[in-house]
Amino acid sequence: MFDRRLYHEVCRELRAPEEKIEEILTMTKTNSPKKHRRPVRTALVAAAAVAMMAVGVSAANPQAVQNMFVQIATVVRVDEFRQEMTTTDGEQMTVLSLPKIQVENRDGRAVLVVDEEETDITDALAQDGSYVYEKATQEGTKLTVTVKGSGAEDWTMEVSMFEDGEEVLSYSGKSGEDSLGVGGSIEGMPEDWEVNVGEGEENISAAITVTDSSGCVALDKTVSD
Amino acid sequence: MTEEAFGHAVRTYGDTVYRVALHALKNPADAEDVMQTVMLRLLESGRDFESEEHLKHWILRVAVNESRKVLRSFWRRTSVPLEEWRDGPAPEDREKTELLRAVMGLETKYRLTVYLYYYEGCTVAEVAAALGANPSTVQTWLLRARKRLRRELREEEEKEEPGYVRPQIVP
Repeated sequence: MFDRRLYHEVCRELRAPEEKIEEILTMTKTNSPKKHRRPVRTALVAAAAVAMMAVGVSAANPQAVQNMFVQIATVVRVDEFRQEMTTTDGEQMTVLSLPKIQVENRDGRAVLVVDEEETDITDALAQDGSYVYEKATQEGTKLTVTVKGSGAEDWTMEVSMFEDGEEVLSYSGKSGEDSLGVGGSIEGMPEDWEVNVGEGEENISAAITVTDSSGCVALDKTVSD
Repeated sequence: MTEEAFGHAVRTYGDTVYRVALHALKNPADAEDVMQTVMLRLLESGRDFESEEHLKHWILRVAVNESRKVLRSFWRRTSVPLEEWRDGPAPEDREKTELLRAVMGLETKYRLTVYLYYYEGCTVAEVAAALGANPSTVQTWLLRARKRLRRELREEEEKEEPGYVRPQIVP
């Protein structure tokens, strides 16, 4: 039987490490609160995302891609969508972080959800056939979501991200597909390529490989925190 | 948000966020990352909350969403066995281990529902708001979760060897 009292005891014993709490508390004490060292997981996700974008750029000429080894020195959060990564070689990369974006059907109403922000776009779709959501940050990043269609069960969506006016990322979706989010297909990446991240030494490094359907390695990155 | 208010929020809700993320991701390291992300978002949001309840429910909603981002990511760590959780139940506490294993064996939505409803004391409506679901859906999830837990925990009891007697406090 499900013992609720026992479950309470179990959950009370699940506690975050004190050193992690202290680390979070010190975020307010730095001179520049936005600059902080991100955990290994985020750095690895960031690196994998960069790998995917780099692969996208190189897709036209896979023969030219060579093995690359990247060591991340710092990750700086620029705004809610963008992080700037600097390798130990001084190379700078931009990592884009996409919020949850989906169109939900709630009792026949089309609701656009961007992270926690919800907008009923049913009437806009019915009247204009489209709805555009835009969010810009002071640091020059802009997220644009364009939904076209007739209603909650018939729509297409284009998501674009701009950095200082230049489009850096775009992808699309439509009703009937799984909701979009981080890791959605990125323009330029061949469909038969696969990104894999395998862990190296515990919490120290990870190897990111990209292979095509024949198993040939197109890109090989090792990142560490 | 003042530094003092932020400190209060971290001390009060840090473990809450950690537990939500742990129930969602079944990985302590990922749960710590989510906790840091959620608290950073709180710090940067600059929001004024009407009440402590308002703050709590905002934090729960963001914790669930941030956990889902990790789940949706094309890369994430695999689940870590319960025995490797440094803050899990002591190995000799069999009942607790079995209960936690049973809860963690549920689907993600059922795990989160069970945690928010039974431990955080959220109402069905509050659980629905945190999970972005309809209240009637949450009711269904609760029923199914309880049913599966009953079945799972009954099977665990039946697996015990004949003659085994659980230690009990004799009044």
